[in-house]
Amino acid sequence: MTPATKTRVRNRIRELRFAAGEMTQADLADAIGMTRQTIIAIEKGRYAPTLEAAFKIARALDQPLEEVFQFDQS
Amino acid sequence: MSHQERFAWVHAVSTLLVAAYFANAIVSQRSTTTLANVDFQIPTVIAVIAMIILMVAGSIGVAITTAIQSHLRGDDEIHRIDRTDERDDAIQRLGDVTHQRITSVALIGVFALVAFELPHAYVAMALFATLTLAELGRAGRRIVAYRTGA
Repeated sequence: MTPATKTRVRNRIRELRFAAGEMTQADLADAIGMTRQTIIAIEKGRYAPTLEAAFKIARALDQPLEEVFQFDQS
Repeated sequence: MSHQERFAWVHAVSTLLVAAYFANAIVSQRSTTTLANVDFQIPTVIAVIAMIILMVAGSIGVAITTAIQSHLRGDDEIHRIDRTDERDDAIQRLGDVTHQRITSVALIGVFALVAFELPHAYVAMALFATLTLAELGRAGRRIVAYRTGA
């Protein structure tokens, strides 16, 4: 198996989920109409969501977009 | 493992089983006839029907397995079995591109067989091999993407 592909988009979803009342991955997935596996992939940095999905995630976590996602420029 | 990934595994295993059947059906005739004269029509029809049946049965099996797991865990995962999202679409496209590339290259070989007027059996086998490789490539690319990132 090839090593996991990491995106350059970092995120704080896991941390913000817990801050938002222990929200589970399934809760977040349901809130934005995605699958739990995609939320897992985004949290682990294995998938960079589209801009639309990123906004939905930020809105579900009640945070501005730049608080949830950061671009790794290194 | 997501449901879509399970379906990709069903696709890969079904393709391998059908390819094994077809290869066996061709090779088993070698003792009585030459490769150029093997009966390829009936094995091809059976392979196509078998592929459809395996895919349907596999999909039903995935749904039943998910329902049982969901029941044992006491969650409502079964209600999300049909849910797909942008990542599934992106992975689907990756698989389709792989399928298209393999088909585009391998069909050159098939056209060459036709151009040189080789026996129909050779053309049929080359075509079957092309489609098998393309389907395996599609399923494999999707599985890799689900495992390691799209």
